[in-house]
Amino acid sequence: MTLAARLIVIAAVVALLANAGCATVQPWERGTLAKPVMAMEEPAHETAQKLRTYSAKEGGAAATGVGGGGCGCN
Amino acid sequence: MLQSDTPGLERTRMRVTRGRLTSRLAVALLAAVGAIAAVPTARSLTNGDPAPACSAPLLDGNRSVNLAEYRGQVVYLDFWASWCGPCRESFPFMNELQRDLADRGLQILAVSVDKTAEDARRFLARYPAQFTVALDVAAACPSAFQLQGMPSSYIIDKGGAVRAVHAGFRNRDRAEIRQQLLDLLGGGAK
Amino acid sequence: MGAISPRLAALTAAAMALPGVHARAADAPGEHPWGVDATHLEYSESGNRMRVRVNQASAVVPIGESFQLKANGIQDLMSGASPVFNAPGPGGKTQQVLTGASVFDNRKAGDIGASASIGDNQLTLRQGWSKENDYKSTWTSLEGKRDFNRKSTTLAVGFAFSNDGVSSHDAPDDFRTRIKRDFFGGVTQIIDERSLVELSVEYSYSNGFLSDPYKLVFVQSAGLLRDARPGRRRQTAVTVKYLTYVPAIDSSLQAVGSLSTDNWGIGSGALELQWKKELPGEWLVNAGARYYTQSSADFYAPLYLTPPGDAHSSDYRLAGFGSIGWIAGVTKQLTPNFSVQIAAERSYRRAGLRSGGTGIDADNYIWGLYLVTLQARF
Repeated sequence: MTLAARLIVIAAVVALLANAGCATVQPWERGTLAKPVMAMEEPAHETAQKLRTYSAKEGGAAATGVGGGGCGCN
Repeated sequence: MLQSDTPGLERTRMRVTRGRLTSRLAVALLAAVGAIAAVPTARSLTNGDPAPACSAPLLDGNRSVNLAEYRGQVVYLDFWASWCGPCRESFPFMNELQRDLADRGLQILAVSVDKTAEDARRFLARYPAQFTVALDVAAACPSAFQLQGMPSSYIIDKGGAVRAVHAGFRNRDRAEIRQQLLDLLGGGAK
Repeated sequence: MGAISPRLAALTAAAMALPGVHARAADAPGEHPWGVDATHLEYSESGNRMRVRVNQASAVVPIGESFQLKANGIQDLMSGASPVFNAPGPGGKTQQVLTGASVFDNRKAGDIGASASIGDNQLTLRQGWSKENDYKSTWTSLEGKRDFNRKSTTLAVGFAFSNDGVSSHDAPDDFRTRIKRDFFGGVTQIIDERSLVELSVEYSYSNGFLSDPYKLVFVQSAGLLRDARPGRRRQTAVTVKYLTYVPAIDSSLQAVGSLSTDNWGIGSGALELQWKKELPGEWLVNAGARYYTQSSADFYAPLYLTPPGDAHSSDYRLAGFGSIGWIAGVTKQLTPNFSVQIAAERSYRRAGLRSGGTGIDADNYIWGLYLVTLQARF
């Protein structure tokens, strides 16, 4: 199996395990998850700018979602 | 690592490997999605069910309030928390209901599921309540009511039966809630 | 790039009271459904290399309770010297040859999008454009998101298609086409009342003219050839994010790991750690570190002693290298409607940190960026 295939299978297994091993969190127990420090997404502008920097500077895929846009960097 | 320009045989082998990889990948991802989506959700309360027992200490008071003591009145039971965004909209709305319908027999009971009284009070300092507020740290009430989301409100009739469940609070719920309460209070438009 | 929520990886599983619970209400309808953002960013590299100044503005407008319109505009100005090729230097050490004069490039890009939220589902369609002297791009994306298990699980899938035209200063109207298709899938899962994990996979397939018209390669006793890359590129990347709240320090800690591979032989790995804490007075601070490494492309060489094959490049971005850097930021809620954020980053790029392949120290540099953002939510 190629590296890519291995990565994807591992990812799927992790997803399964993550779901299986989770404690059920009730809707009224979400207080901690609601804290501002628990927002998983970075402020989008920051991400966008970083994306431009990272994907323009690095050869690897950014793996942060689909933003489109072109490489104006040279 | 694959070469960019590969001779014929290797290219064929790569194509076959990629095909197998794609199908294995598809199966793995489908299994993951299936496992994730398949966890069953609990059945929640619906119209006609008797309201479960619920008792919680008043936030500013020495005694506990019990849902049963409101039998004979129409009760608007709201579960809220200091960390719940839409509650910033629902509180002014409940103040309106209190102002308009309390003397027609409406009893509002807002039960916080915060972990500390301090959290609840901090919210109330910014969004004051003119209705009864209780704090259920142990979360016995939301559990009994099988809460499906935050915030949630339950309209309970004079006989103690749940007549409406509202999961979440949106603008369009305002008119609907008001109408449901008026119907149960036995009056026309005010 | 640069819209309010450019990342499909924005799976908002936390605190799912209703859309709108987040401070970032611009992502979903809620109590503050109107939003405007403005950002200024400056990026620079050591040794008179590239400098970029970026200005960006975005807006979100609600339509009823279920729909949103989003628009984004970005303008950047790039200047500074840029590496063109590598040549043998004194003492046998390969050195970089940069463009002489400052190169100025002005890019304008924008996109518009529409989102529909119905129940636990959300669908977003976006269309974007980008234009500069020698490069133009049009892209479209579609993403779907759904919550499960009383919003403990969020699933997102997306697809994007972009069509680019690449020309060069010598022949600015002679555009060569490049097409890219991106597929994305991700899951966020709440683990317990203070932790969540996100797993995402991205696959992209590009074909067309993928070379850089401004880059050359040095071939011993033959001279300079143009940068020539394969006509197809397939990349796969997997990212795992873990975010947890630590009561003992009243802070959150986040770890993000990603691995990628492609058919050019470039494999990369990255690890980012971040700490975030709320301070009294509605302040939020974050600090972190990032490590990145990649192996060089199969057809990359700093320079060639014998004539190379069909594919050849000395572009430092396809070389083997690694980088280590820090990140820091501060956010302050000024009024219930306005907040400001300042963030900075610095990173040390070193050939010695590469995970494989070849890289030269002449390509090493330090880069830094800082940005300021103003956010308004109504």
